[in-house]
Amino acid sequence: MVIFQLGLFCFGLYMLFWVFLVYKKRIIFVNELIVWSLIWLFFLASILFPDLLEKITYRLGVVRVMDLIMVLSFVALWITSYKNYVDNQQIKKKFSDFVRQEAIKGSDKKTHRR
Amino acid sequence: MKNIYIVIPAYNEERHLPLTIRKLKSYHPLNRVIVVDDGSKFPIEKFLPPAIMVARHRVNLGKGMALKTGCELAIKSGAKSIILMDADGQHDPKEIPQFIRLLDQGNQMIFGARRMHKGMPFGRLIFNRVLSRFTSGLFGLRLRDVACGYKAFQSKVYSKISWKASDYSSDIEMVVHAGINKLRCQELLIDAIYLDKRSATGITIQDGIKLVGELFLWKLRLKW
Repeated sequence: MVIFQLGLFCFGLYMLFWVFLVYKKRIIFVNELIVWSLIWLFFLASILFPDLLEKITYRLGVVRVMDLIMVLSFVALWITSYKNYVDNQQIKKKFSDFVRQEAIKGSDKKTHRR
Repeated sequence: MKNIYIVIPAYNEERHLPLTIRKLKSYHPLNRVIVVDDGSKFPIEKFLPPAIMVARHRVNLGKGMALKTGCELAIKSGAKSIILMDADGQHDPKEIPQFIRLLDQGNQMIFGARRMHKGMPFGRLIFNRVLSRFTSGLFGLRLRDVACGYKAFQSKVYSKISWKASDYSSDIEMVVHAGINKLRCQELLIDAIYLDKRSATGITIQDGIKLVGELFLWKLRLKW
């Protein structure tokens, strides 16, 4: 195995270990554990068996492995951006509603004291 | 008079708001005035008479959200009609009886329109007129000053004009909803007071360009 492959393999193992650590701390749940484990296992498999990616690429009709990786990365980025945007909007709305309701309640208390 | 509340959103207006309130006293009972302190650096309550209802946002949310808080509090307090005005002293309380008169005539919404005069920043005037033309043309309302924050409406139409914008574009959004819901609207010409350059706050040119885009989107949503 080439040193570069070894380095990537160790990185993949470390990330897999981190997923389990985060699961044990109950930061993520079983379904997230499964998804992320599969992603990193696929990563490890493609490091150990580089031909595996070529076969997948060929099946998908893509010329180069790098092209496939680039497209998948962009799709992942867009999905993440959109999810962040939606989550951000939800948080903004909840925060705004909370601050406003607190202001109304605070005003009510002062009115009753008068 | 009993069931008409005045809602004033305020952010760091400890300089102008007390003066506005002093003038307002002659035209409307202070216990029917709600000031929403939108996260001002110094709590504005200290500068106001105790009769005024004050709701304070712990953080600044924007004019639109402050107006929402004020309107909801007014409706909760039994308001049949609500008059909105700015805290920066730009809106003369002497117009309040005119708003009330027009509300009594059965109008569901009254929009203030600032008269042109020398003190008005020229660029803002032109920009405002253009924006008003766009809005009027797209939503069938003939209004000269859609960005004017001095307006009044019956509480029962609040749910129809309720806005999502947190900033100054909430004023435009109210106009859009009034047009979409075909509310009975009336325009009232008012004098605007520009105390200093700072008091000419509000929509910037950049906000306006964004607004024009949003106006077309609102119109498209209607068609769908």
